[in-house]
Amino acid sequence: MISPLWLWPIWLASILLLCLFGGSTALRALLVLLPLLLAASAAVSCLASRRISLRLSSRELAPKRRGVSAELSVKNDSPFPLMQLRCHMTLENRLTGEQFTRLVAVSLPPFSSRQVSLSIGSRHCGQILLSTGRVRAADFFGLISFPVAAKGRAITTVLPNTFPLRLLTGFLNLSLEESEEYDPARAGEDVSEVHQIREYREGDALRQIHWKLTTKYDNLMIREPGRPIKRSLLLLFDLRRPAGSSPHPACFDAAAEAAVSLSQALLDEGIVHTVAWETGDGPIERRTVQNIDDLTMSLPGALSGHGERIPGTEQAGELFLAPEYSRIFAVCVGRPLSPPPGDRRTTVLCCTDRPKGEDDTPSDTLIWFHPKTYPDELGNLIV
Amino acid sequence: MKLSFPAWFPRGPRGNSQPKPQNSRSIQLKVVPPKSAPVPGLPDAAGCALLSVLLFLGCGGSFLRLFALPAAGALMAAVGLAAIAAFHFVLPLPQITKKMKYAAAGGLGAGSVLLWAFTAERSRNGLVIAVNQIQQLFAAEFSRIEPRYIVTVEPEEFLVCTTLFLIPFALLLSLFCCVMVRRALWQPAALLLVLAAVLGPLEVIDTGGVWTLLLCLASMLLVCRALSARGGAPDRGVILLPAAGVMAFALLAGSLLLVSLGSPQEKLDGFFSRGGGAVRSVIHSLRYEGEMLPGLPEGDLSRPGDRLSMKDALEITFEAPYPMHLRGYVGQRFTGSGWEALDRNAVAGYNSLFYRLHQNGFYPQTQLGSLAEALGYYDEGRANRMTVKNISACRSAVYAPYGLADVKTGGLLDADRTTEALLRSPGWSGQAEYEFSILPEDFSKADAVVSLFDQQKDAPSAALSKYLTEEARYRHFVYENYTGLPDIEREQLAPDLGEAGVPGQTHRGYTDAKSTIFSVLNSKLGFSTRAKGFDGEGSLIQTLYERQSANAAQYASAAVLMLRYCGIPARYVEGYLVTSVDLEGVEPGDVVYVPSGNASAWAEYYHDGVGWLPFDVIPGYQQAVSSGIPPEASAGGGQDEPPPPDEEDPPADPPAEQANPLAAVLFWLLPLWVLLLALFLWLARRYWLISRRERSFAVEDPNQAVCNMTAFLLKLLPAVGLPDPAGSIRKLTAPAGEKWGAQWGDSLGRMTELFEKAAFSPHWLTGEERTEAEALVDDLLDQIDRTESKKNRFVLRWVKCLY
Repeated sequence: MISPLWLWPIWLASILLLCLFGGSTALRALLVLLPLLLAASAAVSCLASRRISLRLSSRELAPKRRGVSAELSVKNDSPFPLMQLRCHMTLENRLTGEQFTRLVAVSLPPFSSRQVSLSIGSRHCGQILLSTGRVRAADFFGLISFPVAAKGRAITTVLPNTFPLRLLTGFLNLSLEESEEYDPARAGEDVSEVHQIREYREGDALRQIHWKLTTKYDNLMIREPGRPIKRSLLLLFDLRRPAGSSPHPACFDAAAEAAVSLSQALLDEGIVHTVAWETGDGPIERRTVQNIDDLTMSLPGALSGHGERIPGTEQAGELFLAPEYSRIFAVCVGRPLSPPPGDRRTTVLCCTDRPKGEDDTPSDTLIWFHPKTYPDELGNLIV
Repeated sequence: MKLSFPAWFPRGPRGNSQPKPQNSRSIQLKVVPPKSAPVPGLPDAAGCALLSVLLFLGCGGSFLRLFALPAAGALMAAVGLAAIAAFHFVLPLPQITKKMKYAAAGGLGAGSVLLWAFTAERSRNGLVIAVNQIQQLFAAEFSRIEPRYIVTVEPEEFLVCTTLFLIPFALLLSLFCCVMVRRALWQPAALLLVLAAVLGPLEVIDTGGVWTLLLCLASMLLVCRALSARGGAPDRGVILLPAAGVMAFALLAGSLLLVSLGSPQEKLDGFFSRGGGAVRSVIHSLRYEGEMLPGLPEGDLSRPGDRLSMKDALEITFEAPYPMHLRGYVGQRFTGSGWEALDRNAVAGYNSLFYRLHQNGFYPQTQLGSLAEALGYYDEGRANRMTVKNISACRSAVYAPYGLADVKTGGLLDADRTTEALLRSPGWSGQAEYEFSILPEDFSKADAVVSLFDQQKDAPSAALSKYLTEEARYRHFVYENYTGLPDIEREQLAPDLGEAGVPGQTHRGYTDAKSTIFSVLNSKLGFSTRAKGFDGEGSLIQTLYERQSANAAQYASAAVLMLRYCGIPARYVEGYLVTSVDLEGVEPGDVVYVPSGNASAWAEYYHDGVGWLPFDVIPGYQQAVSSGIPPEASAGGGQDEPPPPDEEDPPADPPAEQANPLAAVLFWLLPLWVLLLALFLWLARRYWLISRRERSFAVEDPNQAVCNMTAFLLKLLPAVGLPDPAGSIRKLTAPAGEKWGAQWGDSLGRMTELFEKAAFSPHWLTGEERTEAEALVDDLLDQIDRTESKKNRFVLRWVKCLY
């Protein structure tokens, strides 16, 4: 389709022909004054462009595969009308690297504001950055535009879905180690610490009976043992793109889902653990996850996928040597992280979209999974 | 502050620019339109109404002015403005439902038909008047004789009749303008403007009014609006009022500035007129001459001297060669600075005259031939063939001799045209080769012709009587159009030529006039090919007298003015001379090359009863073509007897057209045509929608195809009574189950699964799944066909075109 901007040469040629072969003085005057109209229009747009303010807003968290509302608010504080404000909006998933750009245009009368409702949708999880790129104020004729200094930015984290992940007994043993801290919400099996005193219920062990209180209340009372909180399990999210390779965005999505599903499975077992992620330039960020809220609050940072992973420079190497962790799970994409040789406590889960080869046989330290079949591959995780 | 220019603006090479990333399909940003169209505020409505009014007045006013239709423009404007106000201020109100809008549209349509029905006679006459006016315009432009249909009302009622006929169209135009503005449809406005610009150079459109200006302004605003609607939620009319205000202010400021510079109108008009003339000249040169350097001046006296090329102009083959004037360009009307054709609209008023003349076989271009035949002097056996091939002369004219008996080449002599002064040169670049039958040499000389005529005119034969009857009619036209003389020239000629003739009543004798003119010109002027041009300032005669020299065009112009002063109809002619020198040693059948240097200009005068005869006043040129000065036809000089009175008054409009029944049929067929057109558009719309849907189902990507099918179901199912699912097909499964049974709920559930897999899963759908989705859609359509009422099915199929 012909661009509407070509209308102007057609319009001008038509007017010129009418002026040359017709007899209307007013029409000829209009043609002569056209440069003045252009200049006036450009001046008005330029003056208006200096008093434009923008604001982008969106929800902080959003589910996957559903549209999330966002809003672009534009305000014209000048006494001049603005025929068209063109905002080149960029939507970027910082985890998967996917981008989408779109032009959004609004017109603004003097001293007015407009709200444009937007909808963000992402098939993959990750931190979605919505920002205004080039913002330009066009004149009435759409020929000359002026830059607008105002910018807007909003961040939404699209949460990954989780799948059921069964942990085997190796984890459960962690809870039997002694600790200085005990879980106030759940009972355990550490008899040295009393979680709570309650009435006897069928099934309780006889050795749990508190004989002293039983005689006092003339009712069978038992003491529940405490549950030591062990923070010795580390779950590392290294969802950065490895240098020199371009895994499919679905790999990042699958890796994020696997990591979050693993964390949720740990929480379901009552295992408090530490979640860590690379921040790119800064130190590794760590956060203790005791409940689902802690996990949710960690996700915006963990799913931001800062920068590029250059082998040999990962700060994760230090974590692999940290003695306070008795067990480490590292989730990555494309190329596996490299724990120290002989390290039996670290298991790397690496998502790849390349065809399965002979080297992909799962082992205790390295488990490959594919973005299309990972729920089956990781559903019964033996660690 | 950096400016950015549109993409077509030439820029330097880009440096290290990054390639533009392609949009990923897994991430989307959409602009969400408001759920329901908001009620426009007053500025919004006012802005759209203002633009609609400008468009309506511009289109309507230009149309009425273009065709000079006698209509009550104010009443039609009022109707249109009322419709525009209702469209923009009343219809968008939430209280106005869709049914009410349809009812209003139906009422307007019915009202228009009723108006025509109750005023059938007048409306039908209005149609006829409009058709006549439109044909008149094109008849004038293309010099055609077009039939005029009979109007059965008095001229005083023309205004009423045309208004009654055009009111519904004014209403339609106003509503169309409203739709154009509301939807920012810039294409029709651009089309109108281009049409006006194309018609402009043809001198068809009269742009000397405010209506064209309004149309241009409105189209400009509409294009601005269309551009502002790109890339997002379309702008409403809110921005138009302030934008129009800024532009109006700028225009006002600019106009004041122009006025302060002094006499802007004259300067502007002069500048553009010269520009238009230059463009026309260039187009003419390229079209007919194939080069930028024009040949003959073609009536433009401002051109200094004669600028002619060295090539041969014409190649002529004679059966019996003899010297002659070859007439090409004919200048009929003196503008003060040159010669132009008669006003086309004025000539169009003589359509009936030329119709009758042509019906009776009388063509001014071959008048001498007709006379010769009527005198019994000429018949086909005495025909002298002549072939002319145009080598380098201007092809806008056909160069024909005065003794033209018949035109053998088709298309040059058209019975349906009013070009009486010259032969037509058809085609984009004119006629290059043509053939004539010409009179023998002895009849081609003026004196011989006049002498023969004088011998028989008092006792004419039947053929001569018939000829004289037609000639009298033509003579009336000649005297009305070829005797005009500016007063400024009349004053200059009086001292030398004495008492002026009174055109149509008395004129000096031809011989006396020509002798006097010849001697005056040759005593006062000298011939020079390098004479300066005449720019129209003051009197031509006075200027030539002062310079004491003139070129061929100026000589001829002076001679024509002098003849007219004497009361003799005369015209200015340019063409080529075939001289005795050119014919030396030429045998019959030989090719004669007429050099460009033989181009000349001369006067021709109308000899009553005979026709147009050449009068060459440049010294030596008459001898060159041996036309000579005819001897005295009657004793003594002085005033001739007045020309024979017309036997009858100028003929009225030919009554032969039997157009009334046709007009009646056309009038009643018009609504039928409109209905047929509407039906065609309706069917085309349905066809387009259905085929678009089928194409969307047949895309290569199976996931996209299923998504398209789901979108179609989301549109279709609420139309059959299911609740609005707000974009989620899952919400329709339960209502569908309740309406048609659990089986349909399950089917829709399955469709939902397929859609979710297509939209959100990274997997491709299989072929079987796609086929299953297609089958589900088909089954649903069949179910709707079975269960919905006829009325609903009609609405779904033919109004909403959903399946």
